[in-house]
Parts: sequence; structure tokens; C-alpha cells
Amino acid sequence: MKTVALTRHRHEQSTLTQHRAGRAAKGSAPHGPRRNNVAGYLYVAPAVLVVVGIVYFAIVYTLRISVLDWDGLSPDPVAVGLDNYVRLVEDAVFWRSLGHMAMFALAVLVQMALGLGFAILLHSGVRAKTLYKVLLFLPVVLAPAVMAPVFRQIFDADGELNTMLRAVGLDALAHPWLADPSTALYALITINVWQWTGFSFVLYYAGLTQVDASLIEAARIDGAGNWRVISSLLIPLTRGTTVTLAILGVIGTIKTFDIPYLVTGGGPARSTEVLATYLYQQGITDFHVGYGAALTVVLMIMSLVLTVSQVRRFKLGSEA
Amino acid sequence: MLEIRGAAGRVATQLLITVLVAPFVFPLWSMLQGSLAGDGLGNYSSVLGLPQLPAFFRNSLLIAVCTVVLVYASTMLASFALAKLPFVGKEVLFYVLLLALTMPSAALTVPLFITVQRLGLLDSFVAVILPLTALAIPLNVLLARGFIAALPDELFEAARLDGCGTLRTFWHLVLPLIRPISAVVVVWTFVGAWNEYLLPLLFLQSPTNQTITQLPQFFSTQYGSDQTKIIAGAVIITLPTVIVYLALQKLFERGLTAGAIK
Amino acid sequence: MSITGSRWRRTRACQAALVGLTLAALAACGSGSGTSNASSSDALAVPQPGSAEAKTVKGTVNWWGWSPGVSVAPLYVKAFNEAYPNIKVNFKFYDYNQYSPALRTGVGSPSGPDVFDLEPGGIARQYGRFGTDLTPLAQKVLGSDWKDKLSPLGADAFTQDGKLKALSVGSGGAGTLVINKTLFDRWGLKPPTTLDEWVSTCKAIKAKGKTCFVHGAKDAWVNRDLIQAISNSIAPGKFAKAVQGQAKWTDPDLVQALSVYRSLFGNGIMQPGAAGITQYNDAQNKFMAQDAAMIMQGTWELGNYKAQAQTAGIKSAGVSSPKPFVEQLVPLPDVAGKGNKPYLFGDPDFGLTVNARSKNQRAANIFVAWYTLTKQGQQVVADQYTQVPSLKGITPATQGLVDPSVQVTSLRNLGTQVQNATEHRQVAYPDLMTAIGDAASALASGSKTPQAAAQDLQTASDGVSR
Repeated sequence: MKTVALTRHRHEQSTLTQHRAGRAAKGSAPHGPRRNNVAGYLYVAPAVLVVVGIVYFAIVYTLRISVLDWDGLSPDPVAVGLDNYVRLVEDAVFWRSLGHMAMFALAVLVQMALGLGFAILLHSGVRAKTLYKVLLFLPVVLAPAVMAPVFRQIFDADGELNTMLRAVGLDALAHPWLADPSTALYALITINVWQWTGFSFVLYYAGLTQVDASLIEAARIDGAGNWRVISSLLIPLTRGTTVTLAILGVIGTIKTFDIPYLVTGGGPARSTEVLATYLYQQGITDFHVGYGAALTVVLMIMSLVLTVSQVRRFKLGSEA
Repeated sequence: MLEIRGAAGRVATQLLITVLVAPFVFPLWSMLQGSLAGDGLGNYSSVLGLPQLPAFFRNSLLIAVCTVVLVYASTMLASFALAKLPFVGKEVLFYVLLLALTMPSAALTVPLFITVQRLGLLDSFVAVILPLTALAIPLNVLLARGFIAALPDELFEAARLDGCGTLRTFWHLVLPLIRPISAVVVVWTFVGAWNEYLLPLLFLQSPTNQTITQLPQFFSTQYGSDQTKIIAGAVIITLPTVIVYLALQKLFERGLTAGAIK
Repeated sequence: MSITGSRWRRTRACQAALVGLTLAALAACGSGSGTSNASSSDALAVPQPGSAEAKTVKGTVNWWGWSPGVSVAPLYVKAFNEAYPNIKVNFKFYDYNQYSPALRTGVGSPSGPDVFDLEPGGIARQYGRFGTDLTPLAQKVLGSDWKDKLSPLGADAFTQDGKLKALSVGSGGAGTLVINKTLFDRWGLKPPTTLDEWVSTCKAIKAKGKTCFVHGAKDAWVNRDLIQAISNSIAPGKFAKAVQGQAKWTDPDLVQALSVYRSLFGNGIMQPGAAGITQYNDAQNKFMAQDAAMIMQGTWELGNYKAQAQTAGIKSAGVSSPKPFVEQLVPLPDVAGKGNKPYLFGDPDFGLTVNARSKNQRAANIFVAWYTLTKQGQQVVADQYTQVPSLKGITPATQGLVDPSVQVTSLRNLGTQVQNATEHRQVAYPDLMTAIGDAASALASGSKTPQAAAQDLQTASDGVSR
């Protein structure tokens, strides 16, 4: 039985707009005199001033000390030009950490898929919605420092995961997950998915509220089943959210620190080392502030390049 | 969104989502058990009985609220400008904001400290609020800008024809229409500010200026810490963020309202 | 490919800007000697505890550290205030992992500490420069033979360029194993003294359904202690020599130590998954919950000889109705079979430094002197058991022990050993410390041979400037 869509008074153009937004349309600027130029700068000013004033000093500072051999404390740093960068290129741990970060990028895809799935399900009339929403939200807001020991216990050789595997007869799979260099990274990726799916979920949930119910109605009248609705409507209509999450996902993956640092410390045998934990160890634990800064600069450049290419590709910057 | 037919379909859907959520719940359940180990509910009363707790709570609340207000205001203004207002150098400024997002926190502490110290702001809440704001803006601009850009230009045309200036357009047209993303911005900014550990640790030095994330120190010694109480503390600390999330739920539900085009 | 020569170029402008930035920002942190306002006779006027002047002298001391912890520090402050009631001491606790970053930003700032903890090794090397020379203080309080009155490890670890940058509070020694004597007695087991005995004891314990030996092999420090202990049983003192660059890491004795260490992960002694858990709290909690019968901890574990402390520890391990059990520290088994007598190696747990920039020099000196040089202060330290006091001639009070018949002797013996110990435990060079941790981790997971690991250590050691 097809139900009649409840008419909420939406402006007629919303139908067209949703499709246009779905195809990342380049909206044309309102025609008229360019009197908004000044307004544009004014409106953007507070954000830019705060961000530039505070973060950019840090960026410049980092750049400057990346050409030093310095422990951060002594009064006579030694300028070594690009030595730190050359050392970085020859550093095996650096390249290994890049490989590990690529694996974390996979986690982002899983998080987004799960987040969208949950958002769709929770918009589809399941009971106890609020409970599920809170359960998905909690992992994002719980302090990683507190969750790390809990996860170490779960993944322990005689921890809950192995106990459950043994209980269902999958003894062969029971493993000291975090102690084995070949499995530790996967355990961390699982923890990462656990922690961040809620973030994708909240965003997708908000994005789906913008979807016009009449569109779905129209599709139903045309005979579309659930999968059709998802693939032809919901996914395209939440494209903006997907792109945003992809960008944030890339940056987040590159900056990933808490979970590898707190759960495994980059080990065992550096099998879970990522760039952020490595630069922390170099810059803060080992007092190689210059080298740590060089690693930071590389991290930032990587993030920037990937972000700009994504923004360009999805034409986010050139609207209006 | 999805069409669920019949009781069997409803049960199947409920089952599906429950099975999918179960792996997420399991560590939470483990954590809850951990918080009740040893002393049981005594862990919670130990945390709640800390004389410093009310002060820490107030400080965290103050910092979080101020950060949210500053971030919301600057983000919405900037997102609106970047999405809908024409001006030269828009794309560059957008990238300028995005670049700030790429910085890892480990690289920020020393230069931030230098800035804060130079400005004479050590041990004041401003020393924490400003950096938190600066770090939250890029992410939220990224989120909000997309939402605003998706609003149809015809709306803005109509508003202009009606004689609305930029400010009125912003206030009366844009803000009401982007309630869902506003809610998202408020929630994530609040969570980020509430959970911030490193900045208050380094920049707030008087014992009375500490925030709620400094609770674990009361249960830590040189040799290990009392995990049961720390986890209980973590559960308590999470409650306000859940409350904020739930309170803003209504804004997630509401869609575009009537009379947008007169 | 040698890059160094041609790239080294110091442009005046660049250097000036950087130095200006550094100096402006870290304002006078760079002064290495720190004698600017420290040793005026005024600042050294330390009234005797109990004297009339002690009761009137005023001041404030802001004390930063990761030790002794928020719940124990008030004990010290209270005891201090009994002698000096008008000096206010504010202890700011930092988790050990956050201590160095916090100190880096705080030590030069006006709202920084007057007194701060210093750990021998990397932290002392880096932050010692911000402290005053405490030799005059030690001389004033203990006389010209002050060095003989303190345990040798302390002065040694904190002396830089002939100046004493911190006074040791108390020391800890490693090279011991902690057994759950209650369980051992119940099952008729004795502490193992050789590798074979250890393996068979482990078999017996496993048969009873418990973990034999729990080790937090994720933590580099506990692996380092183990390797040092093993190599001391093969060639006493060689490990410490290699740390100082006076012996090669590729020496056959040290390679054998690495090999023995690796074998522990395959012969049933190390529990499965050891490399994935931390010593504190993961492994320690298992031991306290009596899921494991042995753990490797040093004399800092002695605090758990006390029933009250141990009960709290058992409860925080998640046991609801905690019942104390008898812990006993025994020497680590002679796993290499060379017959060398095991001995303790250790370091001051931490020392107290007076910030050269502090405006409360006198109060700071009084506090540090009381804590580290007077009988009263050191007695409070001794009575906690977790540190062996630096001042000689202090015996800890022995009430409240779980089993005095066993533990009093153990406590006294170990205390004497630590006070007379000369071999260091902390590695002063962060790069070498990291390398040792990496080597241990690689050996534990089998991804490197002992020979290759030793070579890595030698490379790291060669790169250290001593």
C-alpha cells in the first residue's frame, strides 16, 4: 500500500534543487551589481582572522624549526637547511608509517558506509530510535585515553574477542591480536571504525532530513523498491555529505594519532606506526624538534594536496 | 525513507539494526562493567564526591559554551559568504581555512604556548577558548558551507527582490533553513571543547582553573592508576555531551519550513 | 651520501631571527648555569625543622611533578607543614606521559613551577639546565661530607657539568621478580632460581589454571630492565657500559642476553599476547587480581607489602571484595646459567629541582631540603616503601604489613641493596632508549635476530653524542 506523502509546505523549487545539488551544480551567482563584495570579506573576516592568527603562527613556526637541528630547549639551534627532509626520505619508518596510514583510509570507507546505512535505517521507522542514536554517538565522544585499556583487554590473548570466538568454535581464529605485528593494525582499524562511524552517522542523518519526502513518493509511485530508492535517490542526494566526509576522512586518516598511540604505541615492532605517532616520538619524546617539525610539514603538505585535489574534483570551491 | 511492509518486515528491520549496532555496544558494555568493578557504584560516588568536581564542571561548561558561541557565529557568517556571496579570492580563503585543518595537535602546543604567553593570557580561559575556536572553525565551515550552497539560488533572488540586504537574508533566510547543520556544528564543537585535554592541561595552571578532563589525575599515581574510577569518571564526563546531543535532536528532525518563498 | 658539509650555512638574519624567537619565547630558559639569583646566602637560610624560625618563615612553593601522585602528595605537604607551617606548598600533578611537554612550556614561564621533579636520564639532561646548583644547599644542611651521607646513585644521576641539579628523593632498584607467595605456598612451589626451574614452575602454575608470569611487553622500560638483568647475569655491568659507549652492543655477551630474552617468548614463560599489554595497569592488574602468579617489578613494588596499599590496588584492579595476599620480591632467576650473583641496579625515582627563575628561592630550598636531606622528610619517604630513601641511616617503619614474618627481612635487605647500588638503570640518551625499545619489540615478535638487533643498537649508540 503506497501511502500518500504528507505535504509539508516545501517550496516548489526544492525538487529541482535537490537534483542540482546531487550533481554538484555550479549555482550561478545572483545577478546584479557587485555590491556584495565588501559584505563577503566582512562576513568571512572573523573566521579567517581567528584561524590565521592562531594556527598560522604555528604553521610558520613549524616551517622555521624544520630546518634546524634542535632539542627545543637549548639556546643555540643549528641550522641544517634541508637535512631533516633528506633524512626523512631515507627513513624506513617514515615510509612504513605511510603504508599503515593507507590502511586506515580503508576504515574511512567502512565508517561512511555504515554511517549511511544506520542513518537510512533510523529514518525508516524503527523503534527506540533515540537509543540507537545515542549508542552510535557515544563512541565518538568517549575519551580515547579511557577506551584504550578497555580495547587492550578485549583484544588480549584471553580477552573477550577470543573468548567469543572460542565459544562459537572458531578457535583457529583466536589470536593475540595486538601482540602480533601482522594483526595489530587490523585491530586498530576496527577500533577506528568503532570510534568514528557515529560521526558519519550524525552527518548523514542530518543530510537525510533535507531530502524531500515527495521525491521518494514519486519514486515509489514509479515502482522503485528500497534498493532503487537508496542507490538512485538517497546516495546521490547526500553527495555533499559524502564528499565532506571523504575530505575529513582523508585529513583525519593522515592525522590519526590517538588510537595508535594509546592502544599499541606504534608497536609491536613498529607495525602500527603512523606519521602522527612517529612525529610525536621524534619531536616530543626524543627531543628532535627539528626532525619532528619536518615530519609535520610533510604531513601537512600531504593533507593539503589530497584535500585540494578532492575539493577541485568535486568542484566544491567554485560554487556561487 | 525505506518502506517496511508488514510486521515481519518491521521485525526484520529492527533485528538488522540491532545486529549492526551490537559490535558498537559491546565495548561500551565492557566499559560500563569496568566502571562498576572493584568498588561498584562506589566508583561513581568517589568521582562525584570530589570537592573539585563542581568547579571543574563549571570551568568546562564555560569554556565549551564560549567556544560554541564563537565558532557558531564565525562559522555561519563565513560559510554563508563562501557559499553564496560573490567576492574575489573566495576559493583562496576557503583553502586558507582548510589548510588549518591539516595541522596535527602535537605540532601546535609549543607555538600556541608562545603565542599565549606573549599575549599574557596564560592561566586564563581565553588561552583555551581561542585555540579551540581556531581549530574548530575550518571543520565546521567545511560542513556548513556545503549545506548553504545547496540552498536554491532562487530563494536568494526572491529575497533580494524583496529588498532584503545581506544581513537580513542571512538572519531570516539562511539560518532558519540550515537548522540541521547548525545542530551538527553546535554538537561537534561542544564535544570537541568539552573533551579537550591537552590545552587546559598546559595553559590553565591554577588548581581552580582546571577542567573536567583533568579528573583522572585524582586517581593516578606514579605507578599506574585506578582504572575503575577513571572509567566511572569518563562515563560521568560523557553525560553532558549526550544531553546536548539529545536536546538538539529536534533540530535534526525539522526540515524546510513553510513560507520560505512568499 | 653525506649531506652535512655543504648544507650548513648560517645566514646572520636567519640565525638572529631564530635565536630572537627562541629567546623571546622561552625567555632566559637558555641560561645554562642558573646561578643568577640562586645562591645568595638569603636563599640558603634554611631554618632547622623544629626551630622557632621554622615556624615563622613564610613563602609559597609551586611544585610540579608526576610523582608522588595526587593522593600521596598531601601526606608530604602535611608533614612538611608540621615543621614549616607558614610555607604553602601547591602540588600540580602531571601524568608521566604529559610531564615533559608540560615542563617544556612551563619551566620558563612566570607561572611555572618553583620546584619540579626530575627523572634521571632524558628528562634530567634536558631540563636540568633550568635548575639551580644545589651543592651549597646540601653542604649547608648536611655539612661538607654530605656526599657520604647520601646514596651514591643520587648525586651521580643529577650532576651536570659539576653542578648538582637535583636532590634525589629516593631510589628504586630493578632486577627482582615479584611472586604471589600466598599462591606459591598453597601449591607447594618455590621461587625459581634457574631457567629450567622457571619453566617447570610455569608449567605447574598453568596446570592450576593461572597465568604463570605476566609481563607488559608493550612497554619498552620493562623490557629494558629485563634485558639489563639478563645481561648482568651473563656479564655483570656490561649493559651499563654499553649504554655509556664503553662496550659494544655487538659484544657476544650482550648478543647472548638478547637471545635469552627472545627465548623467553617461546619457552612458555611469557604469556601469549605479552607484547600487546602495558605493565601498568594491564599486567599489574592481572597480578593484583591474582590471575597471574609472577610479575617483574622492582623495589617500587614494595609499597604493596602494606595491607592497606595493596587492598586499594586490588580493588582498582576490579576485584570487588579484595583480600590482601603476600607479595615477595625475589631475585630474578639466573636465566643464562652462568652462576653470576644477581644484584640490583637502579636510579633515583625522581629528584627535586629548584627552578632558577623562581621568585621563591628560599621557600623552595627549604622544601627541597626538608624532603631530601632531613631525617623527618626522608622518614616519610621511607615509610611509603615505594622509594628507598636517599639519606642513609633511615629505616622504614614496619607496621601494617601483610606478612611481617617474610616481608620485614625482605624490605630491609632490599633497602640496603638499593642504597648501596651503583649501576644505573635509566638510559640518559632518548635515541638509545628508543632503539632498545625497538630492539626488544622486534625480538619479542621474532622479526629480528639477536645479531641484527644488536647491530641496530650499535648504530644508534654510535649516533649518540656523549
